[in-house]
Amino acid sequence: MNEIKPKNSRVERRFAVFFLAPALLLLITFRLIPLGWGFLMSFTDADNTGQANWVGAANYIKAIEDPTFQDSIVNTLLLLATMPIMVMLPMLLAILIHQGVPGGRFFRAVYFLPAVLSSVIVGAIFNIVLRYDGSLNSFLDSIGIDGVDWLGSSNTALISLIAVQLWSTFGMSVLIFMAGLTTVPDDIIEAARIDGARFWQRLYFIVIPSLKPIIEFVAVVTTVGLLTNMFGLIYVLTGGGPGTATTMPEFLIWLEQGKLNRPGYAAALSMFLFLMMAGVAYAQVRIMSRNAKV
Amino acid sequence: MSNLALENVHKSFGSVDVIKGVDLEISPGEFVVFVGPSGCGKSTLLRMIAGLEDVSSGTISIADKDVTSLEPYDRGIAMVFQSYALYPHMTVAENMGFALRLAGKSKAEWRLIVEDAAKILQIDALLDRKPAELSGGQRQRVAIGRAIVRKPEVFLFDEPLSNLDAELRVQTRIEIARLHQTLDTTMIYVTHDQTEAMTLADRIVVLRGGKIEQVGKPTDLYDDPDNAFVAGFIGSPAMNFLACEAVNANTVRVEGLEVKLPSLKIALNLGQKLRLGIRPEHLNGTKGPSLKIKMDVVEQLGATAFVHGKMESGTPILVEARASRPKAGELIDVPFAPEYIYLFDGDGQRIR
Amino acid sequence: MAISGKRERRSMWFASVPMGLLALSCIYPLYFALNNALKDNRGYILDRFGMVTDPSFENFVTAWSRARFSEYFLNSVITTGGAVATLLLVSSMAGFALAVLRFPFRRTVFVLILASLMIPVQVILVPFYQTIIATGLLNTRIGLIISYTAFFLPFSIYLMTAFYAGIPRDLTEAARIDGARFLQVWWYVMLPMGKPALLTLGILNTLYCWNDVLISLLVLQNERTLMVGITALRGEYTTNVPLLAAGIVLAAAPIVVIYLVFQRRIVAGIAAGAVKG
Repeated sequence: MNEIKPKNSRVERRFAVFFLAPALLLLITFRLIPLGWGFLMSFTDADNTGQANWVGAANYIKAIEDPTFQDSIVNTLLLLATMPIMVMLPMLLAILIHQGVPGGRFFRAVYFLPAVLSSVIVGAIFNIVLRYDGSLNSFLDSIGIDGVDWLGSSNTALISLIAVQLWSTFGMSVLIFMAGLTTVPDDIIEAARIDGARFWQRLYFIVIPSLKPIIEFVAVVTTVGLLTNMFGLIYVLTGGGPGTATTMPEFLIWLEQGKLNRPGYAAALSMFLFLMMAGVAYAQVRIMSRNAKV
Repeated sequence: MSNLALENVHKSFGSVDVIKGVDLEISPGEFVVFVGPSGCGKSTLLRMIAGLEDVSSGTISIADKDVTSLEPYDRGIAMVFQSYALYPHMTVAENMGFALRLAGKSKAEWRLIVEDAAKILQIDALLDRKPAELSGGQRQRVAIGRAIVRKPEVFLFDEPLSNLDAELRVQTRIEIARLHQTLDTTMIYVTHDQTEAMTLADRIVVLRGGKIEQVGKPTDLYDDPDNAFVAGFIGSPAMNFLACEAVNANTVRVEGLEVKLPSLKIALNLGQKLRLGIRPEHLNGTKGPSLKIKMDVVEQLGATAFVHGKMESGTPILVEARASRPKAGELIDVPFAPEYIYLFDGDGQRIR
Repeated sequence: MAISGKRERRSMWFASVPMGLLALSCIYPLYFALNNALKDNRGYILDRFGMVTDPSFENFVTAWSRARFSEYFLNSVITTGGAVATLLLVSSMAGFALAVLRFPFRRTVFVLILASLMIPVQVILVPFYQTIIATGLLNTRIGLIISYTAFFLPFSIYLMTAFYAGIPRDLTEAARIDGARFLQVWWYVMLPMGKPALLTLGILNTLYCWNDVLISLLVLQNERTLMVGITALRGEYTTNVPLLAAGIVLAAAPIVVIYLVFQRRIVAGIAAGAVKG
C-alpha cells in the first residue's frame, strides 16, 4: 500500500520534537545518564580527587559487611514497620472529618500545615524542643516528671525521629484519604445502614474495602517518602546519631560521598537504595494494574 | 468543473481498511449528505476531506486543486463539529474571529466581518458573551458563524444536530437549509439520521462498510434504490422484505399470492429465489393483490397508525394504516399495487 | 452527607477532643518558634517554654544581617522563582506534545519520563554531583535552577499531560482548521485553558524548591539558600536558640503565607491527583 506522507505528519513530528527537546535534554543529562554512570561508578573505588580503579563487586561486599550500613538497614526496617500506623491514623482521621466531627474543616486545614514546612525547619524546631536542655524537658520538669534525653539516647532517638516524621506527613495523607472518600458512593452506605449495620460495621465492611486503592496509594507514597524524603530531618534533628541510631541509607550515602570521601562506595550504597525504590515501584505498578481491572 | 472531487480514496488504520475506494464528484453549491449506519466511515471520510485524517491512497481535490497533502487551513474548508468545539476562554466574537486574527487581520477588520456574520445568524446580541453562558442552540449558531466568517469553498458539518433536543433539532435543521439558500456554498453534511438526509440534501451519499452504496437525489433513492441496503435504509419506517420465488418470467409467488410485475425489464428464471420489498406506506391500497395479516401491536399516532402484524407464514410485517383505526388481534386484508414492489436478488442487488 | 445518625454524631464530640489536641500540636511548633524568636537569649534560658515577657525583634534583625539571612533569602527567591518559571514553561510544552501531538515512540517517551520519577536524588547523588561539575554549573544559581528543574520535571510533566489530555480533541482540530499552526494552538488555546493547572503546579513546585536542602547543599557551595542557611545556623549558633528561632520564622513565613492564601487550591490539586492515581 502506497502510504502518502503528507506534510501534516512531518510538521507534527518536527514540532513535537521541538517541544519535547528541553524536557528530554534536562532529564537525560541530569537523571538518566547519572543513573547509568552511578551504576558504573559503584564498581570502582573512586574518590573525590578523580582517581578511580575498577574493583568489581568489592564495594557491594564491603557494604553488606559494613556495620554502619547494616544499622541503617535495620533502622529502615524498623521505620517501615511503622508504616501501617502512618496509613491507618490519617485514614481514621479523614473518616471522622468526613463524617462531620465538629471542627472538621479547621482540623483538615491545620493538619496539613506541617506538610508545608521543609524537613529542615521541622527538624530544627523539634531539635530545640526535644533536646536534653530543650523545652519539652523543661515542661516535664515543671510538672514533676524527669526529663529524658530524647535525641541523645539510642533508645528514644529513633522513636523521636519516627514520631516527628509522622507529625510532618500525616496531614498530606489525610487530604488524600478525604479525596478518596468522596468516591465512596453514598447509596451503598445508606443501604447498609438500612440493613442494620452500625457505624463501626459500616466502616469495616463497606467504607474501608471501597478505599482499598487509596490505601494502597497512600502506602506507596508514604513508603517512598520514608526512603527518600527524610534527609533534611535526619541532618538537622539528630545528625544520624547518637552513633548510628538514626542513620538511614539516604543519609549514609550523602555522608560517604561528601564527608568521608568515598563516592565509589556511596554509589554502591545508592544502588541498594535504588533496588528498594524499584521494589516499591514494582509493587505500585502491580497495584495500579490490579485496580485498573477493577 | 467540480468543487470537490474524491478519486479512488482509501484509508486504513493499520491493517484495518475503513474506506475502501470512494469516488465522488460534487458540483459547486451542492448540499451533499453522507449517511449510513455507525462505523460506515462517513465521519472518517469527512475528516479526510477536512485534512484531519491522512489519506492512505487516492486524491482529494477542492476547486480543481489537489489538496490531498495540504494542511486543513490551506484547503479552503470550514467545519462545524458535533460538540461545537467553541473556545471556552474566548468570547463569541473572539471565537468567530479567531481564524481572521491568525491570518493577521487587525481587530477592527475582523470585528466588522464577525458582526456581519453574526447578523445573518441572529446572534449579534451575544457577541461579548462566553460560550458557557449560551444555550445549546446558540452555541451551535456560533459554531456555524465561525465557519461562515472564513468564506470557505466547502462547508463541512459533522453530525451538528446530534447534541440538540428534538424540537431544537427541527428548528436548526430549517435554519441550515435556509443558510444554504443564502450562501449557496458547497456543503457536505454527515448524519446517521435519514430524515435529516432526506430533508436537507440535494444529493445523498449512502455509505456502508467504507464503500458508497448509492449516490442520488433523495427522491431517486426513495423511488429507485439500487440495492436492498439503500432500500431498507432510506424511508421511515423501513421497507418490509419478504421472501419470494419466481414462477415465470415476470411473476413471483409471495405468501401464497401470485403477483405479476408488468414493468420488469429483465426476465426472471423459474424457481429463482428472490426478496420482495414493499414499503409500509404502500400497503394500504384499495385494490390489487392482498395479503392476509393478523395484527399484533398497533402504534396509534392519531393521523396514522403503524400496525405490526404477522402473515400466515409467520413472517412479521409492518403496515401503515391511514384511514382506519385498527385494533390488535384482528385479521385484515391488505391490498397493494404491484407498481410499488421492489425485487432484489440473493446478493441484495435490485432487479429492474 | 447523611451517613451517620444523630446519636452517632453526638458521640463524635468525644473524637473532637483528641483531634483538637492533635490540631493544636500542629500549630504549636510555629507558635513556639515565633514565641522564642521574640525572646532574647537570657530570657529563653530562664524560661524555655513559657510565653515571652518583653518581646523584641532584635533576633530577626541579627538573623537578617549578621547571620546573612538576607543573602540566603535572596538566593532562595531567585532560585525558586527561576526554577518554577522554567518548570511551568518546559512542562507545559512537553505536556502539550505528549497529550495532543501524534508522533512515533510517544508512549515510550512518556513511560521514560514517568520512570524518572522513581529516581530520587539520593540514588544519583554522586554522579549527579560529577555532572554538575562537568557542565560547569557548580556554585552557580543557574546551576541550581537547572537542577531543580531536572528533578521536579517528571511530576510536572505528568500533571500537565494529564490535564491537556482531558481537553477535548475537537478544540485542537477546530483551531487547526481556523488556521493555527501547532505553536499557535499551544499559545492561544492550550495555555489559557491550562491556567488552573499551571497555578496549582506553580504552587506545588514553589513548595518543593523552597523547601529543598539536599540539592542546594550539593550544587551551591559558596553561597547558601535559606534552608541550607538554617542548617548552618544550627551549627554556628547552637546555644542561641532565639536567634535560630528567628531564622526559622524567616524561612517558614513565606511558605506559610502561601499556604494560607492558596489553601483551597492546594487541597483541590492534591485531591484531583489522588483520585486519578
